[in-house]
Amino acid sequence: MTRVGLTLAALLLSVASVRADVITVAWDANPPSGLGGYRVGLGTTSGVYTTIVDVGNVTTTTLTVASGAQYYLAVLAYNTTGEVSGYSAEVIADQTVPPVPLPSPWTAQDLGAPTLAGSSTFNAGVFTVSGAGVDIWGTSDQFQFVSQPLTGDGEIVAKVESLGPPTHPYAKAGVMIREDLTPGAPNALMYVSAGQGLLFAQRTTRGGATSSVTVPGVAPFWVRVVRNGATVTAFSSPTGSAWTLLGTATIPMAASAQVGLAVVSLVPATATTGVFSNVSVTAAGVLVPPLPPTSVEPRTFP
Amino acid sequence: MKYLLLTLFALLLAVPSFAQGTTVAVPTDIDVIVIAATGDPATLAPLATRRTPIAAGSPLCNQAAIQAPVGTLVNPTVAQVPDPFLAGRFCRPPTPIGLATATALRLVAVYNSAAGPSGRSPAGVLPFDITGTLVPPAAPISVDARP
Repeated sequence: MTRVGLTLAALLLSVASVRADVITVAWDANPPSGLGGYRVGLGTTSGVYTTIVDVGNVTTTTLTVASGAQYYLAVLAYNTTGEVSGYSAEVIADQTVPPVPLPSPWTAQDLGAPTLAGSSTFNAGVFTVSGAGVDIWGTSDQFQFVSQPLTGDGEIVAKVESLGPPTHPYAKAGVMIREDLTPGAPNALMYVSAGQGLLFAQRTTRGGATSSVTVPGVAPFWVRVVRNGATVTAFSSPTGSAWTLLGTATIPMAASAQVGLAVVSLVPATATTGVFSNVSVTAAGVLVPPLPPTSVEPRTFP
Repeated sequence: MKYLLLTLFALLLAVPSFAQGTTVAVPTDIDVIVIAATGDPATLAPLATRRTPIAAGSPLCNQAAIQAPVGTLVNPTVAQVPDPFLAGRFCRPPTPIGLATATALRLVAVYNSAAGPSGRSPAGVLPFDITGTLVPPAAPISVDARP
């Protein structure tokens, strides 16, 4: 049995990445005699390659991966009779993305002082919001809130891409309009739960009780809350285009309110993470007085 | 023709524009204000004011223009203000009552709305006189319903 070039697998292995979800890997060619091609091993644990890709007889390839992890790669060669070399030296591709500050005017904060602090990041239009907290329920709330001011009427729309780990069936990720950042503030929350469907929850008075309505649904799902005066309306949609009304509540709030993304785990020592895309806040126009009459003339009624 | 174009251009420049994201409130009533013959109509103190509710389709609005009288106008009873709901038509809110005798008075008008009042209109071109105190008519008496 002839072994051709198998001892020379991947003399030089390099890795480059310009995007968090793409890895480009390259290596030196083996001697050509009898060479069949190469296989690239990929995994998130050193020495454990859970994905093996046969790339043929080339010396570079590009792999698409999930961003946010560190990947270990190695290459092996095989000959035309199917025998394989050992793996090359391993290289590491760090696909973790450094947190990008939330774009203005968004700010992240824990409301109600959860035992475990939450955190929020933003990257390429996606908000990743991790929150612990007891709940957004009853007369007072504890959760992570990414918010911005909303003056007057307006709406917030987002697609809840995922929510996990499922710390509790009522763990929540959704969009909220809230009078202010105090724990007992009046608010409306349209959310995707971890195991109880889609819910529209509302606290109509400061420090008052919270109530909700439920329909079936799981992430990914679109959620939307609209404020029109004291009337707050909640919608959900699987597509972001055809909206289903979940409910309407009368929630008197000051004109200056907060609107944003809310996540709560319901397990004080463990956070859950909501991933939101397609987030938009639309403020209705500021109402301005009409222009003056262009003329006025006295007349005697005919 | 040249003057017409210049006038149109000047009018375009004079139209205020609202910032993107603003909504113009709908007028809910008109103030008809009587001011003195001389002085800046934008700041002169009102001699009398009368507020009249208006709305789209209000019977006071969607009216044709009343031709200006020939000669001096005495004791006007209505103000002719552009209908804010219908271009080319007019609203005719009543003028203030209880004015003392005076000459060469002028009118200005203001739209009111949920977002507050507009500014004052320009003063009316036509001055008018008050020759006697205008009072509303007495209520009908001896009204009887007959089968």
